[in-house]
Amino acid sequence: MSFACLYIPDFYAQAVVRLEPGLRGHALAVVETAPPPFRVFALNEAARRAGAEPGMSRVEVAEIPGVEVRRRSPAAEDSTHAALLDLARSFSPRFEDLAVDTVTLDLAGLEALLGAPEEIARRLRESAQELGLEANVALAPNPDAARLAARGFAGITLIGAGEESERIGGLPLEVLAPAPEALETLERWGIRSFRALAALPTAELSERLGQEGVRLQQLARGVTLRALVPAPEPLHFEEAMDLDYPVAELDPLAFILGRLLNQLCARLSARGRATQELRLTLGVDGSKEEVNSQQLAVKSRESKVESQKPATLDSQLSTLDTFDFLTPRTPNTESRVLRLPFPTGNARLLLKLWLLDLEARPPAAPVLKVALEAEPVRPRVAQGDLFLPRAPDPQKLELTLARLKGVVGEERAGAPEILDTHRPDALRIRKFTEVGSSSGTRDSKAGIKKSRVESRKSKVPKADTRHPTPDNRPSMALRLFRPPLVAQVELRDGRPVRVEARRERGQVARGAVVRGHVTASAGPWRTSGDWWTDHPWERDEWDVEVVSGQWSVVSWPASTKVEDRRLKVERVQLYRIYCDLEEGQWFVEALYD
Amino acid sequence: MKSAAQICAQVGAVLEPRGLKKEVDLASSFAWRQERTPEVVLTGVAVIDALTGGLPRANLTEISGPPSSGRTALEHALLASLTVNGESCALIDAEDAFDPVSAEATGVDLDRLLWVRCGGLEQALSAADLVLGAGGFGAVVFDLAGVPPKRVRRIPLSYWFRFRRAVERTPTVLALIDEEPCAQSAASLVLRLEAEGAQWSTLASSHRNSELENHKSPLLAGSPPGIPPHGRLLAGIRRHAEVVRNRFVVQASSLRYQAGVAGSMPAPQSGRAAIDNRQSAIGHEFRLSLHPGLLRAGCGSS
Repeated sequence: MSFACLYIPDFYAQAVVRLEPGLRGHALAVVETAPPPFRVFALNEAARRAGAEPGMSRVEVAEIPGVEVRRRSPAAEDSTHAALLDLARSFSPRFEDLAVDTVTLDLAGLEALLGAPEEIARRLRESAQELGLEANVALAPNPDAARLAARGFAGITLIGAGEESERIGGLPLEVLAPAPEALETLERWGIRSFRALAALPTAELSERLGQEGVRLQQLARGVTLRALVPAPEPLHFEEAMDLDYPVAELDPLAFILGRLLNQLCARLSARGRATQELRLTLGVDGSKEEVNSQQLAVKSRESKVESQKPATLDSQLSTLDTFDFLTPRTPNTESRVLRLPFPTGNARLLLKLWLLDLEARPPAAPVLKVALEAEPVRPRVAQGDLFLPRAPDPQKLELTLARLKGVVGEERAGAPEILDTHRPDALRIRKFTEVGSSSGTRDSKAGIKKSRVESRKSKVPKADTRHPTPDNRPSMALRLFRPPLVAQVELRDGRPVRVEARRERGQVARGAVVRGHVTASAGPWRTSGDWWTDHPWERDEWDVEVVSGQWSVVSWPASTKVEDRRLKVERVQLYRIYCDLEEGQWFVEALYD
Repeated sequence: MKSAAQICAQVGAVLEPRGLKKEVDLASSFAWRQERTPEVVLTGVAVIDALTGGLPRANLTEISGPPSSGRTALEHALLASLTVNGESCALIDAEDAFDPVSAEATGVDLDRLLWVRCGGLEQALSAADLVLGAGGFGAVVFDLAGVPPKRVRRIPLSYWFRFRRAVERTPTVLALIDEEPCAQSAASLVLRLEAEGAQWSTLASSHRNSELENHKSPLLAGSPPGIPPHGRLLAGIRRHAEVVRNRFVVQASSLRYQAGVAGSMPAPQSGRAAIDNRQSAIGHEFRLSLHPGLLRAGCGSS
């Protein structure tokens, strides 16, 4: 038994159920997407038992009680087929992609790795179940016998060497999928099973049905011998779902994304891969009036409240009324990319990150299609190191950064990077990533090495910081006012003698910030730049000491009342002010602190 | 007075009929926990390290003082001492006042600094919750220095206890920078800084004199040799540091220290030399003292 075959019965129905697990166990009819009329394209066994048949109209099948009707989803079928191939690839590098629902594997050498044939068959079936698929598994000495057994028998079938003809002899001829003319001829002869076909004399069969008849007979005897045609190995991971009704709220979208991510991560895991970059493509309803982000956010909040109430029939019907099933839809696509500094296959983490992104930037209109594509990379090889410095967990950090983005806004949280220019306060915010974290990919080994070097450097004895030396004194720090405060400055002999500046409306705290006499000053220092651009700047800077009287509450003695501890004190404050020579306006730029 | 064992038994008796006793580990909840002296981080500011013994990890340290009292310089020194050793730090900047240029001049490795630029106190508190929840940072600095004390005092005390709880049993230094102390007993170390005045020096007395003369600045044109118009520089600030509260070891009761003009500083990048060189020529003077009564309080709790 060196060949195995996986066959997914009722593939088209299972492709729908895979992305909508709530339908598992229900009778399901899949209708064509092309109107009108919507004919039944595929069924599952429960629907057949209920009386549904292929070719029935949507209306007819909807009248059968207990049968769920869903539209056919080519995207779901493609992703299900891709998942089936990934499953085969995770067991054996040699497999043949026979049909959308069938894959045959070469098991040579797998016994040493996985155990007895029964164990291999059980693992294949369980792996398919993890992907949300109910598969028939058959093991046989040749690939065709395995394929026919998988198509003909439910569950697991094991066929030993020399047993092929006997085991598959009882199968009906339809399993062979002969040409309709050949099938009609054979039925006219009274041949209805493999065993009957195998018993016919080969020469006479060849005279009447030609080489096709001989081929069918060899298949029915289970004695064909051919080499597998291995499938190529594309590393393309995509899961998609076409929605019957447009989704305008984030909560139902979260469920859909969760399912797709679970499937995607399972496929990545089956191929021993993780992902560092995910692309989400949303097909939004272009025919509908655009729903702006505020409306969506409000709907999301309302849906949270509504979800706590049981859904009534009226509300469900009203939802159905709002969507015209027959109107052709013209979805526009919106794409967004999630890049991670580390590879992961954690579906929960990815779902949280996508939800935070969608909350921050909701889709412009109700969603009709969701597609997720993952860029596969090798997973992290995590190995702890006692000598690495403390660092946040990369996954937690990524999640925290995404949440911070929601709190403080886009590009307001990250690592500062000073730009190489004379222009004051010229900086940008880079994405904060853990430099040389302990859990990195092989690609990030360079970072780990760098960190180790730095770790060694840190062990070099430094100057004793407990004793003041010229090298460990604090330098002066600046606190910037962003934007600089517009100031009124009194000058005497060209030097500032009084400064007053207020915060303007919209800044963090309004009111007078700087007010007082200048007791000492130094300057001016003239700087300029960007005169070759449309935004030149030129200014004279001053360092000024401002003394102002302020009410203050001293902290000691703590036992007395606050009122008794209030003192008016004269405080010395040092500011950097400048005069913008382009505008002739004074500003307070920073506080020395 | 009831013993811990009696209280434990009493709580157990209340919980047992409700079926909750098994879910609550009463024994460990009432067990005596020996408070250990925490690991400390030296800021690199010798006088502050001598006074405090370093900033304790897994605790809340509050650094208070009016503008120009040196809070931000101390904040940068703390970030520098940790980031140069490869630890990541987070700065929650309530007023978006952080200056990366002066921080880098102090020695902060900006690649290892997560800077959260908040647009107000509410955002800052939310961001602090998120950053402390992520964990793994060597220090989380919560900078409220520019927020008016009246608004800071309105923050419920439970916030500070929650933040302190978040860093307990972690290697994180949680530093709160503000104008007036507000964390009260949630803070293990409270340091009060005051500015006493600026020090000004003429260019003639500055070590940068020769450099400026060699530069042939237009400011020097037509002035006597060595003394340009307005010819002086901000040389430093005299400051006063006081330990208001210290739950752990107190290193010094009083100390006078005077720093001169800073010498060797990291070379600035090209394009920022004019401003940074002037800034690097600035030093501090610290005069340290610790009130005897407060010293007793600090020693008593250790």
